[in-house]
Amino acid sequence: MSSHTATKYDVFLSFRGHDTRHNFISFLYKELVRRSIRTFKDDKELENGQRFSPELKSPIEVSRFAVVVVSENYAASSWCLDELVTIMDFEKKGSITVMPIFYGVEPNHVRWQTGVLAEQFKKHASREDPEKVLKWRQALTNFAQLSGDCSGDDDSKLVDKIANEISNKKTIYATI
Amino acid sequence: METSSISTVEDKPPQHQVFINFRGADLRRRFVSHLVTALKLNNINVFIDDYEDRGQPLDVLLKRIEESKIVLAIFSGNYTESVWCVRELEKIKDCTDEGTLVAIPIFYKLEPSTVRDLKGKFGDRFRSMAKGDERKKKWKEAFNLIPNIMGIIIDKKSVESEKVNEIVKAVKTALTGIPPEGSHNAVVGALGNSNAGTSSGDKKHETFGNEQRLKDLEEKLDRDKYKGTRIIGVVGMPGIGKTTLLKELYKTWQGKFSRHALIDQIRVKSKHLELDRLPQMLLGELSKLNHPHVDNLKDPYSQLHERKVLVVLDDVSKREQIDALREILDWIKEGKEGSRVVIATSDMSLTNGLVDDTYMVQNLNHRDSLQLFHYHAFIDDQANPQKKDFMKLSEGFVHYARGHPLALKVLGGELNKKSMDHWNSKMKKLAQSPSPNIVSVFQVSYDELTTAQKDAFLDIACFRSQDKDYVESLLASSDLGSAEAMSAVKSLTDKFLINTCDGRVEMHDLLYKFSREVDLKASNQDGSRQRRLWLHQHIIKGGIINVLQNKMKAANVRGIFLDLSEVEDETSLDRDHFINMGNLRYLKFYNSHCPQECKTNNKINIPDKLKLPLKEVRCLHWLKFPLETLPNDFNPINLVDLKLPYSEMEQLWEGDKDTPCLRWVDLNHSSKLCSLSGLSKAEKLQRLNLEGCTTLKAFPHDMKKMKMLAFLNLKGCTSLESLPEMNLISLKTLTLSGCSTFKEFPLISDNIETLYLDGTAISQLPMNMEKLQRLVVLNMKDCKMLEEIPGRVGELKALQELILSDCLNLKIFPEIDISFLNILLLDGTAIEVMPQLPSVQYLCLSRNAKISCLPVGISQLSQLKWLDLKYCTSLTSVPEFPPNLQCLDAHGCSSLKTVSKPLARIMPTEQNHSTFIFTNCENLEQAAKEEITSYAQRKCQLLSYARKRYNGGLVSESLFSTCFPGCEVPSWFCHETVGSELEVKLLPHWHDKKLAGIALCAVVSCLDPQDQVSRLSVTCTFKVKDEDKSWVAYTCPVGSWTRHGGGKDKIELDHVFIGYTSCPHTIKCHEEGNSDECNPTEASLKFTVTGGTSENGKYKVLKCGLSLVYAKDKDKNSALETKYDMLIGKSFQETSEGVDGRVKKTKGKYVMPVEKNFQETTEGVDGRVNKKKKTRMDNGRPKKKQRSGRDDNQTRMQVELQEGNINSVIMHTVKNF
Repeated sequence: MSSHTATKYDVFLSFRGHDTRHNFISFLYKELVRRSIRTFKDDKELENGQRFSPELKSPIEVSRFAVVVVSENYAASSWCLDELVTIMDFEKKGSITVMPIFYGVEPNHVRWQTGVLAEQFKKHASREDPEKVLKWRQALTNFAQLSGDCSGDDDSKLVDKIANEISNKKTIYATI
Repeated sequence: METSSISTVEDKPPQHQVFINFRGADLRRRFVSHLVTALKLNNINVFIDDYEDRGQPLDVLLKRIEESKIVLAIFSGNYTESVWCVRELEKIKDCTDEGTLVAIPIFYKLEPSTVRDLKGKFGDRFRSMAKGDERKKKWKEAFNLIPNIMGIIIDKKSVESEKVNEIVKAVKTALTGIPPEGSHNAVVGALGNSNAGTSSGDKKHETFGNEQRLKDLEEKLDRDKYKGTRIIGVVGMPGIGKTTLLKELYKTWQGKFSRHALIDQIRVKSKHLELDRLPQMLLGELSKLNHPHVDNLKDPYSQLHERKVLVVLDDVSKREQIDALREILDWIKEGKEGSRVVIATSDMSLTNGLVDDTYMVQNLNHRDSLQLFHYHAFIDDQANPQKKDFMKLSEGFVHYARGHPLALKVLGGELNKKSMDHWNSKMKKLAQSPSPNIVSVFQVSYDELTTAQKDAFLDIACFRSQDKDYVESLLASSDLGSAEAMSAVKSLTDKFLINTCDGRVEMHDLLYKFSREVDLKASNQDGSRQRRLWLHQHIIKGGIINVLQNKMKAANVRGIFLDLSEVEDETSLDRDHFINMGNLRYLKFYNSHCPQECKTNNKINIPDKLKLPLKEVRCLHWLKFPLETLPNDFNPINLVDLKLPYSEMEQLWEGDKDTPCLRWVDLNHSSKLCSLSGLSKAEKLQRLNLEGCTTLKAFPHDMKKMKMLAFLNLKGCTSLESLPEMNLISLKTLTLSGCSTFKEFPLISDNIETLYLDGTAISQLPMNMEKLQRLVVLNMKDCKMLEEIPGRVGELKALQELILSDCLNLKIFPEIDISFLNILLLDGTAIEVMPQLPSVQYLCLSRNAKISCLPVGISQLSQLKWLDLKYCTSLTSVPEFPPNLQCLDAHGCSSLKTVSKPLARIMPTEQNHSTFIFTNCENLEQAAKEEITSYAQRKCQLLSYARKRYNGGLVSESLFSTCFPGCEVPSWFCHETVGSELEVKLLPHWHDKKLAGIALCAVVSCLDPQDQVSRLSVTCTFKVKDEDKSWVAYTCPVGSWTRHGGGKDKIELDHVFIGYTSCPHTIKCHEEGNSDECNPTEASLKFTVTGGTSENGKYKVLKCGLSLVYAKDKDKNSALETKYDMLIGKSFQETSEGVDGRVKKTKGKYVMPVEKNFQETTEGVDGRVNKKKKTRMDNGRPKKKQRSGRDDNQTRMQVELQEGNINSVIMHTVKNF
């Protein structure tokens, strides 16, 4: 962790705004903030279709954790997928710890891009650069292999669990 | 946050429960899960259904709703799929109707209207779910009703975590409305305070007005003043701020005692705990032991004995609670001196015989109310830029709360951060029904009432602001005797649910609204509760009066109050409508817009054979009752108040009916009424109003049984010829006004106090009238047949007012002596000699053509204040008027030539302001006019002495005014000019302390002599240039003339108006501030004359004048000096007047001010020499007696002239023309 002397954020939140911004993310964000966890959540919802912009790169770079909430329409957004690719890159470098949250989607569907994701990727394939699509697929596959949490029981408990986990890990990192 | 809590943890009873009603499939794992977490985080006791074992019957859940105080009903898309959700909702509606539950609807991605009207898929799902279910209609009602409660809308754009915050806040707000159980945090700081952690923070700022309350309470507890042990009760209506006050007291006082305890929420605690836990708690607190055991009690008791203790008991609601603590209280009482016990309760009767003194917590004043409201409405946002716009609305809310702190707090909290539109709509909603949070506060008190008290409370609300006696009579009945009725009123008063003052029963506005709400909620469910209906929409449906539209049982209708002014269309009434309303007590068809109720058209069609089988009716009030008689089946056995004005009745009912309770009967203007036989058994009757019953000829002889009758009004009963022989021992007021065929007045009661016989045909007073030893008012106005007033009238020792106006044939008024008679009206009579009654204060002789002179003895009538001689056309001279005469009106005395000299006796201690009117006295001789002006001058001077003591007054007050025909400004006015505007240069120090007043004069001319007016008034705007060159204006009255008693008259001649007014305090004090400066000032006066309202411009001010009147130093021998002054003044006046008059005539008007001053130059030189030696003007004021009759200003003017200002003065004066 020595490479990370100046982390600006504890947590970077990646999510599909349309699906979860007003509900799940709003609660999660609030809880993280309540626990004094420095959290980055992009609030200037970028216009639909706008490409992944370099200005978002830096928060990922300077965050210790990435909580990626994959919801139903997450993979439909190229913007989300680009973000995920970046996150997974930093994950590989070991600069960020990724916590996958499968919010209303099956981890297996994410991993193999089946189910709803199959449809979404059909669309991507028809308009996007195949190389880019491949990158996305790889990122999703790698992402879904990480251990994560599934929604299902109780959102509030899930929020609590995530927040707890981050709190704990944060303390561990701090002691290292 | 719990540090301020006194009770130990295990004492904490369960908190109010918040129940969440929602569709699990939609929300359980998402939104609701977050909501539950947030509520728990805020220490709110929340319940959702998965905490019960699955598979338990629904009834358990319904029971849970009953136990809860707040319900969050969350409507989501699939809500209506679930029969459970809907059945819960039904229960919620029932409980909110009962008032035991506060519901907060939450619309999760739905429009409230979708829910209310069951629209779209939401509605479709409902319809398919409820298909064929008989409860469908009830469910629909629930959907209809609940969304109308103010709720929270969550739409697509809402950030749910923020909405959760909002809900938590709303719940907390609602919880503050309900006395919390055990936990402090629910009371303090919950309202509008988003930061839940700061509950016990700085409360000082939010309890406006509490400081004064605390001070008042501390005074009652004062340890220096009261040495022994003292028990003080703190009483007041729920929500008035007793708890806040007590907490504050405890905080500031606990340090002064070695042992202290505060036990709060005793009402709630004793509901959940055994009563014997209370003494344990108190002892535990006092001895600081966590677990006091009963066998351990001896020790703490002996401790108590040796120490000064402070015990504060909050919210005591029952006698038993005090009894449980009695032993400890006795110990404290016997213990060390200086201990204090404070007991707060909203039932004053509990403190009887227990406390040494009581402190009653009053409503907040307006300023504190506004501050408290603002504090809560702008709590997070004290510098809201828009705040200004909210101020006006704030006033409305503050007015609504009527100084009730809790209402202010709740409303403020509810409006916090809300938009202007929301404020407006809230205001509208409040007019309909009160805020549920306020309701819940009163509900607690209400719930503790007995059934009879509840009924009394709700009944009283229907009769707002009535005489206590009346209310008690209505409440009294066979099941609730009059003693009990009285005790119901008493105990409601003790509980602050009503208040009785000045013999009237009143209800606080909030409680009134609460009562209406409670009544509404009693509704139609199982019918155990009786209802009062007062909204026309509940009474009338489809043009038919049908109070039973809501499935209500007829037997439950207790009152019907229909305001006909709200009924627009013709309405009919079914003949059988009242048939099962055996419990109907109050039936009122009235009109609130026209109290006389004359204009209302009858909008209710009644079938001929109306059935009215009512026997419980206490109050029957039916405007324009259209039947000839009350239906036969009507039983007035309980009837107390019968009011059928403008009815078509010929008689009340056929045959005799027992009316043992009947006390008030009002049948005014029932023009067909010919028989009163129905009242023959009304032995308790107190008031009978038959005004305008024009066909009524006679009374039944049984009337003599009405021994309680105190008031009988027969005004305008034009067919009434006589009254039966009887002695109604209670009769106090009898009105026979306008009974034009009534010839002979028999003495029907010895105890009459007020007797109106005006306009009757009686020709003489009864022979035995001296029996009327209590008669105070006798009005015989317009008794044209009356020729003589017998000397026996002198025997009426209590008589104060005798009115004989317009008794055309009355020629002689006897010489009598009635020591109390102070009003005697003889206007329009033919008497020849003015009676001299030493006690009379108000004497009217106007429109008398016989009297030619008044007796000289009139000057001795020291009581006479008001003498009306208007239109005494034969009067030629008047003698000296008595000293205390305040108003003399001799308008239109066309023969009047001379007045006495002096005009009136002046007393040295003169203080009364007075008005002498001589308008239209066209033959008044010059000498008389001169006497009037000279009198005016003397009066001004004299008043100035007296007024010296009353330095002050922000407005100028008219002290003396007179008017008479004439066209010259009297010479003693030192500034005068032609026209209506006068500009004068005032000398330095003109308005020093000795300035006593301003004399003003205006000559008024009528432009159109044929024009008639009823009123004429002259005013003057007096403008003075201030130090900083700005003008300061005062308005002073000069004089006015009013044609009393209506009518108009011509004012043909020019008239002189003289007025003397006190000096406004403002003029004086701005001199005091810088008396060292010596600056002359300019003043400008403008006179205006108005005649009535629409008659502007018909009069003109021809000339005007000003004189400043100074009070003189008179330290010694004041009476002598006054006398001397008077004499000198008079003689001086006579001579100078002559001279002045001459000069005026020869020299023309515009140089007069200067001219006048020149006349006195020789005298003035002496004065000037004196003055020049002294710096202060008042020292230089002339000391010579003969000068004092004149105004000092003249002297000043001379000084000015000597100093070379002569030109400016002339220029000044000339400029005015």
